[in-house]
Amino acid sequence: MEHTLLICIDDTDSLDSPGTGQVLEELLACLAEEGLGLGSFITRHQLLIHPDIPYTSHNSSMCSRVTTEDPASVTAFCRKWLDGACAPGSDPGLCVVEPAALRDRERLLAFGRAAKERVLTKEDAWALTRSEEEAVALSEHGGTGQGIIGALAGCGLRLSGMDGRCRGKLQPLTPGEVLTPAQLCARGGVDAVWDTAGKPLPDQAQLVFLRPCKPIFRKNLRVAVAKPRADGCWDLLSKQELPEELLV
Amino acid sequence: MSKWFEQTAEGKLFRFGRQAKEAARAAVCDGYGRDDEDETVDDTVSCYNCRYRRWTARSFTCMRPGRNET
Repeated sequence: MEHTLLICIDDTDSLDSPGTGQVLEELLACLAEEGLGLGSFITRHQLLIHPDIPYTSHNSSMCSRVTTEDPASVTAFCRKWLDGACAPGSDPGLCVVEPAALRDRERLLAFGRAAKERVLTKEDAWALTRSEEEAVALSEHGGTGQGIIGALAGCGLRLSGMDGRCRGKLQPLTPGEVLTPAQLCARGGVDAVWDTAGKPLPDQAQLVFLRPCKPIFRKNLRVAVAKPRADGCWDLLSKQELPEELLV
Repeated sequence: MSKWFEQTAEGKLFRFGRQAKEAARAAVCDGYGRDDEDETVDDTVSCYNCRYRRWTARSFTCMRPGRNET
């Protein structure tokens, strides 16, 4: 039987080490290599910036979805792997959630939202985990283990389907090329093209692909965002062109 | 402390906040190290994109030891 899991890590890095997104990417590659599970794209979730939160530089967590026949082995592998992969001085946390097994899905969603708005504690994270023993596996991997808060929150935000942005960016094959939304989606890395108000572009829209485009994560889709041009075509937006509210 | 930074309880705080892209480009020092693409704000060489900056609610602090304070 196939299971779907969310895997999220936080606080795995230091100022000079590979970032948490790269760490998760390597972990997913190892899971695939071991034949344990197949990872999906990675999303980045911005959490609250606050003096009482001991983040490294930006307080974001990274999450992916993994399909597997053996959830217990995936969790065990991730835990062991992270023990050897995190940077000295970091405070790593890992969270593995099986959404189908959640008793109170709304509680996890609320935890994710709360981590963007107020300071949460490790005890908050453990309390939720204790009430969801069948669905949530949380673990600390060194330092203060503070990363469990962001890891659990990241799973909640990924589960919401409506937060953050996708790791990586789409590159034009030729700068200035013109594509329809379907042609862009067929290249992979993006599932839909919307305007900045969240409305899907019509099938016949002409997208001008000039600069690398940053997909955001909305309605469980990787969404490229475009804005209208004076000539009736649409410009695909790069990260610096995206409205601030769509980036966080 | 310098044209770009002031010493605060949080550390070496960039004086110009989170939206001063020109100042953040001008303030780059010889210890600049680009952060992961996921964490940068654009494609420029800027303190905003440096792995040694630590965002705060209003600005960022420079965490690079021995930063050139010009």
